[in-house]
This record gives sequence, C-alpha cells and structure tokens, in this order.
Amino acid sequence: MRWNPVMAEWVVTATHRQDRTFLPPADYCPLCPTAEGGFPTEVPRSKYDFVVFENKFPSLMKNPGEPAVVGSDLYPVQPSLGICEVVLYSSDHKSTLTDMPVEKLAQLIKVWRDRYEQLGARDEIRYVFIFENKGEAIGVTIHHPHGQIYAFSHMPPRIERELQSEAQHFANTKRCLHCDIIKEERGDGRRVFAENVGFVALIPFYARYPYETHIYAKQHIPSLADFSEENETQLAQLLHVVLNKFDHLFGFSLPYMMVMHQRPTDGDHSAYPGSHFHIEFYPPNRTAEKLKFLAGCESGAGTFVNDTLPEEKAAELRAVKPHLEDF
Amino acid sequence: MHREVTVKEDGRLLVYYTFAATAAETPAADKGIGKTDKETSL
Repeated sequence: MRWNPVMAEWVVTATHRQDRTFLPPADYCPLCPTAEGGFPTEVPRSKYDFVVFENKFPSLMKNPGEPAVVGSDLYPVQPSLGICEVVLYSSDHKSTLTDMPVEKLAQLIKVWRDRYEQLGARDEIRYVFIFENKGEAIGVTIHHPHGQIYAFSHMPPRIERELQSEAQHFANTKRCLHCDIIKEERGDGRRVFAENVGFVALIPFYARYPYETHIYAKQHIPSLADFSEENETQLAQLLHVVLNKFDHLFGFSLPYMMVMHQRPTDGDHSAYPGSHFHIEFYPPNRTAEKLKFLAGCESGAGTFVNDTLPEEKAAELRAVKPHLEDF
Repeated sequence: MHREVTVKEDGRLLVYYTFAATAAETPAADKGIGKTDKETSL
C-alpha cells in the first residue's frame, strides 16, 4: 500500500489483479461447481448452499510480500495486509440474490455473520467489509452470483469518517447518530419505502445516488454478531422486498453496489458506542437507460450531484411491487 | 448451520456452508474433497 499524504489515506496497489478472469462465457465459469470431466473450477463439490473461499486475485493478503518500491518519509509504504474472500450465493450460474426466497436469505445472513466473527477475531483485522457488486455497469467481471468480503488491517477512509461522525454525535448528545437518523426519517416518512418490525428501508435525506437505499436495524444493533434469530428473519424479509422492488422498477435486474457498515473488530466494543448495523445500496441507474457517473465534480471535488429528489424516488420504490403485505 | 473448512491445493481457504436439507442430500463422493482441517456444526 502507498500512503497518499494529500488525502491522508492508503492506496492499495495490486498489479496481479490485472490478469484476473474477465467476463468468461457461461460454460467456462470459474465459480460454477466443477463438472464431471470438466475443467477444475474454484468449487470441486457439486452441491452446496453457500461457499466462501479466499480470492485468487486478492487486493489484500494474509502474507503480503514487501511493497514493490521503497517508501520515504513523505511517501510511506506498507504491505497490503488483510484477507479477501468470495461468497458464492448459489451453484446456479443464472440466479441472483433477488431470486432467493426469504429462508435462503436468512441462511446467507448467518454465513455473513459467521465470516464477520471468524475474520474479525483475527488480531490483525480492524474492519470486516461485506459487499456485493452486481452488473456490468458496476464493473463486475464474473456474472456467477457472488459477494465479497474485504477484511482490512487498516481502517478504510470512508468508514473512518463515519466513525468520527458517530463519535462526535455521541459526544454531543449521548445518542447514536444512526438511531437519530432512523427517528428523523420515520418521523418524516417521505423517504421511507418499506419497513417491518425490525428493519426499515429508506432513501436517506442526503442520498448521493437517485435510488440509494439504506436498510437499518430499527433497534440499536451494532453488528451482525449482535443479531437474534428473529433479526435474521426480519432482515431477510426486508432485503427480499427491497431487491425485488429494484428489479420491478425498470423491468430488468438492477445493477447495484451493496455494502455493509457495522462495528469495527479491532478490540474494545465500548470504543464504538455509535456503530449501528446497516446496509447501503448504490444502484448506478438514474433512469432505465441513463447511469449516474462519478465524473469531475464527484471524483475531483468529492461533492456528489444528485439529479433527483430522494422524496420522489422513495415514492416510486414505495409504489412498485412487491409490498410487505404480499408475503 | 454446518461449516466445513478445507484448504485448496494452493493453500487458500475454502469453506462450505450447508444447512439441514442440503447436508442430508450431499453425495458421499462429494465429502472429503480437499484437506479438511476443521469441521464445525454451529
């Protein structure tokens, strides 16, 4: 990793990733189970519910080599320490998270929780970041349904900024920032488009993407490790509704980035009283045909320009099927 | 939930997660592929 002294953040260099698999044909998918007499894929077994394996082309490594260049006082370098895992959702190449029944989504949540606990228990891991990139519009290189986990040995900058805001809010009010956001959003109601007993789905007041969606635990639940069995079912149900609304919105499988934010794993839990589990979706579409690009203002100035009003986009998602009462 | 941890030939971790119905259906020939270093029922 190379230190950027201007932005005060680490940049990972992973040159071996240039050679990673890029949009292979469906009959040569490295994530499908190995067929009898076929080429060896990542998964030798023919039947499974979920598979997790270490990425063949990792950005972060358990045993990273020394950096390719020698650093300096201005430009420190350090090994890219961490773990990158792939989470296969299904042996069916054509399925998506959206196709999963609620029961299977609840199982996936147990898998996510297990990885969060397993990886987070390692001394060198400070943050377990669970995410999924879906669709070529996002830059997906393999279509087989899968998510990823990056277990960081350093705190990623966006997470660090969020932690600082949480800590500042807690210091000022003795309350969780996210609990206050949920209260404000549910009180207003215009940006909430689905909720059940345990979770709420909304487009936040400050959304950067037109259909940016956040799913929050209504109670103050810091991480997946704090979920009850009921929480898992409740989240699975709301996730199912949100994902299917996305696909009904324009009549096609909506690309998105899905990321999870939760408590860091670098030690004392009491150090993060403001951590509150939530999932954030960033679908790139602003209409069926038009995408939101991170162009000059977003990439160069860091200010997002949202061409839509969250209140109007939430109304669209609220109106589109399915509805919780359909289940 | 059943977690079976194996190690691939190149040393990478490969973990199978199965839930009750699938675990019962898994063919015997499929079990034991790879080197199992830990097997846990959760």
